[in-house]
Amino acid sequence: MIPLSRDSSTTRRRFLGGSLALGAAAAGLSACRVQTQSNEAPLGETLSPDDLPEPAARLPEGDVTIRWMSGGPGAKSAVFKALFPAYQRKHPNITVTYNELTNDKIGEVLPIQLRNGNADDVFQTVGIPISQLVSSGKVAALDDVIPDFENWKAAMPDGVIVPGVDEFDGKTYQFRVSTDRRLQQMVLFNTEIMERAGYDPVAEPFDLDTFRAAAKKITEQGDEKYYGLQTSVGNPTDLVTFNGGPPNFDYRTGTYQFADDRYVEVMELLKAMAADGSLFPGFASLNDQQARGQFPLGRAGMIINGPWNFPVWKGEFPDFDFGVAPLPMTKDQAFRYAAPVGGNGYAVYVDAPDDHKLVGGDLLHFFGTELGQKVWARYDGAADPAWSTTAIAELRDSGQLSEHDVLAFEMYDEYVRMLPAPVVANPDQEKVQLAMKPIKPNLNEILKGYLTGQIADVRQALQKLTDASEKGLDDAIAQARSQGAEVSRDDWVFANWDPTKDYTTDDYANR
Amino acid sequence: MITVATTSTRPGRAGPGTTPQQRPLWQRIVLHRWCYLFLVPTLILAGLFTFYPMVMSWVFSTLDWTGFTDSGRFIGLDNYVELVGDPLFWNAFGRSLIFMLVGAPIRVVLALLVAIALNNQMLKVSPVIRTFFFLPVVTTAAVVGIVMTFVLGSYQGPVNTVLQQLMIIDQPVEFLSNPDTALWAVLGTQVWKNFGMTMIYWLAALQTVPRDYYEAASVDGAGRWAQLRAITVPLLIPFAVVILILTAKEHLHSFALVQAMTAGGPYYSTQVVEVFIYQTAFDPETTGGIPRLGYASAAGCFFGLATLIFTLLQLAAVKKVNDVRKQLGTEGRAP
Repeated sequence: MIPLSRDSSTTRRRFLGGSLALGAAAAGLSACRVQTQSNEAPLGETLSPDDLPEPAARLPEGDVTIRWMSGGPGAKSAVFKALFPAYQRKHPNITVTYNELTNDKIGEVLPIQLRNGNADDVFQTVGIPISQLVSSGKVAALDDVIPDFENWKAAMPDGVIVPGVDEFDGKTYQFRVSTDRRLQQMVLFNTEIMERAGYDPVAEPFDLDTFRAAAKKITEQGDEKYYGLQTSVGNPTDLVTFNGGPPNFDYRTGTYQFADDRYVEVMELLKAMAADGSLFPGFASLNDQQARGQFPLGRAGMIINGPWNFPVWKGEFPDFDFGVAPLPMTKDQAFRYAAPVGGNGYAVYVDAPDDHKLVGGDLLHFFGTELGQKVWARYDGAADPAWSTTAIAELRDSGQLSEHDVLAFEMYDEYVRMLPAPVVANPDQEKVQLAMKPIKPNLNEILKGYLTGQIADVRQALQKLTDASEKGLDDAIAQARSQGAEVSRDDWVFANWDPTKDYTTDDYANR
Repeated sequence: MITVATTSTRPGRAGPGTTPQQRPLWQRIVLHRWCYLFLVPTLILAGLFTFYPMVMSWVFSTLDWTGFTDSGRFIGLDNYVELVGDPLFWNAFGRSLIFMLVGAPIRVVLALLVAIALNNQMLKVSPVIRTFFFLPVVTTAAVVGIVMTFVLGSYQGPVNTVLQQLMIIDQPVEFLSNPDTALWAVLGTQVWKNFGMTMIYWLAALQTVPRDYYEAASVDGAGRWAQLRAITVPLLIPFAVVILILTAKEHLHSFALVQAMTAGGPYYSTQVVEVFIYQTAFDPETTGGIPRLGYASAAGCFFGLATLIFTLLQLAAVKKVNDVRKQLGTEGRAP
């Protein structure tokens, strides 16, 4: 989590996971796991009831229908659409009604559901301040819901349940089933168009100049039928950090970096590409969903987007041949910085009936086991990586992954580095996060304004954003302190952070 | 609006020696109980869906509230202080005023001209044409907005295709991506979509002009333009005031269309106040993941107050104009 500017790239909760140290911890703790269900046979295309373990607790005997809400459509959908039918066949008296909404709609709908008293029994906590749900008594403590909770929790690697993110006042209220150890932006390209242009970004990753040249050539060849780059003008941070630039917040100094030269350079590149005519027409009025939906129609050679598109495109456009490549980069200086307290978190509605909580708890318990992580990894793939490195390693060795997922995982290994997280060091930081007001215009909006000509001096705009973010952080800290939080600006400084390496639990200890 | 009779229609019910106006209130209520009874559902619905939200929005505007808790933290007028200093709000406010001050007159005038043309009894296809003009009115605004993003799209959109084929333009016009054209494209769609409603208002108003006046004018040799100038327009002025106010009010409520077409972009160039309020309250990208219902409520209350003041000023100005006209009419009359 990049604190604490309300730039859209920092809104998702991420969590610490997947470092070598954590992998060793997971392997060492595997003997302590609660579920000893072994399933040596690889998981197939569909999940069988026999693949699932016996429930960890006594489930209700009468008919029960629980409601489970998660973000989608996307790779996560595949997990639940595989698991829930198998679970229902194993427990015929139990029905799991799966409700799917896009992540932004969950944030809109959930507050209303909570106030009306009809929230889903289990819901995803994307973009939701879990601490507020805890303080208002809207979510149940998982300690009371998940069977054999203490042993189950003890089997988790470090960083899966984090005080201040998942745990409040000694009780756990949110469980995150995946990690943010992934690339959220890659170059996804139309294979046919790219071949016609004579580029192979997998074998020879683009740098900024060749990226622009490729987009221009594709546009020329497209002759107004297709263009170089499909875009809705997303967050340029990863493009900056792939070219040796800092993330939005430099933890070594504890300061915002929007005004760094590399941000200006990247924005000027995109402006030049717009002037070349390489950007899809009307890009400034497209949203991300529209851009992703149009790309498989052959309207552009490339799009910068994430791995969640893989299953959607394969499902809806089975004849669409696309490739996966890293962002344009400067060799040996390319990193994507992932905040550790991320991933897909789920909570249980406090007013759900007790028998619903039993079922929800059993399912959450399952996802916290090695088998559950395997199921998650198998059906989700690279889009929302499971936090169990064992499950990921097995999946990568199994040959069941698609070529896109294989490439994606390889890129994660090479380019992703986990950031420090102030909330891990000081759980009171959660109060600062709540106190932050969004800074407008944010980085995405500045880029869009620059591309449309509404912002003439992008450097000045970025400096304003930096200054406003610094003030916003100071104000939020002051407000949190006035509410009793023990926080200071020093919580955001991690002088021992090495941007070329993961920030691990040892690093927190040696801060 | 139901007018409740204040005089008794049942003389036998009158108390001895009392006129209807002298009866106690409770007696009058009992006497007209059925009227009040039939008003109850309306009052309940109005209370639940109009007055309660109105009052509560003022309450919420004094809170720092995300909506995830049952209530927020009271912060007094801090939201309003922040609002006054928020350039994005004032930009949105300005755009809402543009929608109203530019869109409403255009729509009113054009609709009048079309209504006059369609009011011709000799035009047999008039009902068909009226239907075509009214169809967009009954179409959902969000659907219209989404369809118009394709129609006005710069990639193979029909409008651009036609303009290019007619050689009016060389390159597609980015109607919705260009900040210079986006607002006008959305405003134009808003005018087109609701044009039929204003046309119906005018048609109804035109029905009130006695045909005898036109016949008399024809006998006196007045042409169509003279009749329009001397008969139609003067008699329609009182209606024009009401229609203009209704149309202006409608142009302030353009959320669905703007959100569907541009979501306030590019870079805020089409963000009107309603979109600002929605995005502040609900849009995770705008709010950085945490909604600000209190701040959004403050924006809504502030805007509501501003439009109320504007409406009152407008009504006062219209009254003044009418008073002056009556005065001039009295002075000009032959003794």
